[in-house]
Amino acid sequence: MSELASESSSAERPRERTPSPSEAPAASESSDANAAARVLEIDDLRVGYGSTVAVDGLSVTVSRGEIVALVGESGSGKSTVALAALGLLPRSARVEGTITLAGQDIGSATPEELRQLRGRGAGMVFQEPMTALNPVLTIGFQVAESIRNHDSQPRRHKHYDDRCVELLERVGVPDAAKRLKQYPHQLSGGLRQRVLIAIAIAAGPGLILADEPTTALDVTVQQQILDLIRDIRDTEGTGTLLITHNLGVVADIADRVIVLRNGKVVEEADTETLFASPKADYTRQLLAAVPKLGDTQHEDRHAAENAVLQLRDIVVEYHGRRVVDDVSLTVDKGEIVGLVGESGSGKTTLAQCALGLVTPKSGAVDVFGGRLDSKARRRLGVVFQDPASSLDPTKTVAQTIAEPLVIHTRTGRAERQRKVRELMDAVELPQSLLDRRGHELSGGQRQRVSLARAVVLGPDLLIADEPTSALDVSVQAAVLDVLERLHVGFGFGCLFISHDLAVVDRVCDRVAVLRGGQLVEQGPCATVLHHPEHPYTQALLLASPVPDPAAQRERRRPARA
Amino acid sequence: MTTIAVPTRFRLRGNGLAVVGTTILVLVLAFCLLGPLLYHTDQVHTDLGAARLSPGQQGHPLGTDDLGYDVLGRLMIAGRTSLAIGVLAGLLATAIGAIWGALAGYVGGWLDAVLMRIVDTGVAIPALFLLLVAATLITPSIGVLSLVIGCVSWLVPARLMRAEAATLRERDFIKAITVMGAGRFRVVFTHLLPNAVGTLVVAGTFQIAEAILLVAYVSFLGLGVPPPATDWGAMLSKGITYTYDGAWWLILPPGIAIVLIVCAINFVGDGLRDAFAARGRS
Repeated sequence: MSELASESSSAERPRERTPSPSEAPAASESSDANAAARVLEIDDLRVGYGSTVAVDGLSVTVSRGEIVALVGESGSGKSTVALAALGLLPRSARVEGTITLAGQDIGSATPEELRQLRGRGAGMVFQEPMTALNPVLTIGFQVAESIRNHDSQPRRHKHYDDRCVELLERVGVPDAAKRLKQYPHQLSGGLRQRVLIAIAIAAGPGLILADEPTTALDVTVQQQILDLIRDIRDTEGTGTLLITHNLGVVADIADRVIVLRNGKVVEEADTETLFASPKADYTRQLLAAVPKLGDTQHEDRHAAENAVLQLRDIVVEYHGRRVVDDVSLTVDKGEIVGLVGESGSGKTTLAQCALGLVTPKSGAVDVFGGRLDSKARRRLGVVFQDPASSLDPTKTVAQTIAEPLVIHTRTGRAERQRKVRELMDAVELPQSLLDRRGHELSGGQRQRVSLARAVVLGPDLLIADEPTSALDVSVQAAVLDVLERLHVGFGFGCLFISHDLAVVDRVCDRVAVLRGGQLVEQGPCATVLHHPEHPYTQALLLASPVPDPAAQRERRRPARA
Repeated sequence: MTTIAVPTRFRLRGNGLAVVGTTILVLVLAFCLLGPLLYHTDQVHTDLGAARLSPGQQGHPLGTDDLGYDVLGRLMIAGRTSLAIGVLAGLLATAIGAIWGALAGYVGGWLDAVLMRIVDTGVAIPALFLLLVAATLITPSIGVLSLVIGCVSWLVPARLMRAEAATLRERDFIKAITVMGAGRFRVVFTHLLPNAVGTLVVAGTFQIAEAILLVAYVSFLGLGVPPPATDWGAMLSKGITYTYDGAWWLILPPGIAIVLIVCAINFVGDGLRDAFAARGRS
């Protein structure tokens, strides 16, 4: 461990890094400079619940001014590590090993010492900024609270206003003084995350624990937040333990990477080395599963056969606010059209117009050249984003897949069963799952069941609204494979909605980019995604991090300028 | 149903009050249903010669009432009436409320507005008043009383179910099945209602307890099932006349029976609610 720590502080790092640990302010109380440089030291951590093991022998050191990424898919135990570092694990957890935070042993700390460590030793940034902030308290109150908690003579919240403004300005919140009186719901997701970071650094901790800090954010906002984290590291010399599943984010910001799988460390290396020459098979698989822009060869398709979906001049308003503003889009038979945009761009609303779930204020929706009646619905399949809610929890897999058959046909029971079994093979699910219910399946399995249900009647149009956004990369890759194979087999036209440009590039023939309800650019993937014309598309492309540190550095330069 | 029963029973076991409630419920049911098979009494013919005997006299463990009926035996058959009406009325109320609320919550729009304003109006009229009017107009019997009580007490389950349906409607699986062309009835009966089973079972238990109380009120006011049939409310009502003569055995047994059964059902309902809530979380 100590070699690693000293190596990371002495080795020249390719990044522009201003302060060396010795210049970093505060944290010089300990006489031993090397120990002071280490803000978090986890040695052989083992965490278990009942008979399951969440973390199995993990050792990590984070020094001042260092960003260490803990990477893994869901269930790898990465979040448990962050909770353990702050002594926040539930009583039912069995914890072994030592955790030293700011020179203090978490295991033997008294509750009061723990309270002091939380905030002063390490600040925490959570994934979901909306739920991490209290919706009924003002921003000012919540930021002040975090300062007051570590004030030896706490005073009224108002007293800390100046310091709050200072903190909010530090994390790049515009009109900071005005924001103090606002509530979390009045702020955008990116601003909320900035507030959360302000709270995390309020007591001047040596370490920031960031648990998926950008996962809930749009790519352009994600980049700003990553820049902020990097900036805090550069100026305050704070160490960061970044927990993420996104290898692009890791390539962008981390100095060192630890890959976790099922609670075990699979590989540990500095970022350049890991991406350049991954040693473990699992790391290689992970890297291979991340879709990359430009990996897919697009053939020139001469489409313009008969359109299966035609949206013409669609306008949708909610309470007088335009969410979709005069958008026209066509999906031809057998063609996959990507619809890309950030949150609030109106892409889901547009899909719901096509599905008849939202009635546009003006404009025409043509499905198979006519209205969306029962006959047209028979030829329409749909897959939604959230695997947790897309299947009826009271129905078995077999019942779910067979439902469209029951609605639209008079197929007999035996015939239905045969058809369901056939589709289980098509989406590569074992027949043994037929009698399971939705909640007994994993996220990827549920999305496969959704796909099977969507294509059971052999549809001519499939509408997929972020079908893989909630899945781990390796699962996403497998589900996209299934989608592509089904597409080849059934030849349906598909409207594929995603925020991930690389996924769209992999799957789609054509792409349309939405921003604030307006169509910014549309055309073949090869043109729009590789030689974008519109500045917004260019910005979007630059903001999505790629899992390659060198390329990522290249990309960041123009984006920052 | 099997997938629901297993975790529920498991959870109930850990819940002290629910176990007590279930035990009392089983004992009372056995007492009312099996009791008369073991303990034979004449509950049809009056025997004025043996009227108002105090407990223990002439082989009557709980004494006799003013017409000479054995109180213990009468408690059993009265319980049958109270429980039968309670269960039937409770189930009826829950069923009406479930369908009403599911339609209102799922379809929404003007239908929701109309259906729920009807519920609001119904809540504004005291159920007891409606019940008394109905009971004076129609000759009461177990069937009629169940129907009437069921028809005046479905409002609360309707509101619960509407809230549940309005939430479920926004879930993706409901949207998906709508998009595929499923009709409203299919959505409501095969997807909405099965998913609201937890809420409905809990609401149903509380409805049964309430119906038992309602039937006791009505009978206490003398508008219950006609003699020689009786129920716990009617027993209480008759016993009240002799309270000042010290005939405690005429009012305590039916009174305690009502309190016991209502408490027991409420304990079970609370336990079920916790069990379903825990299932929803996991």
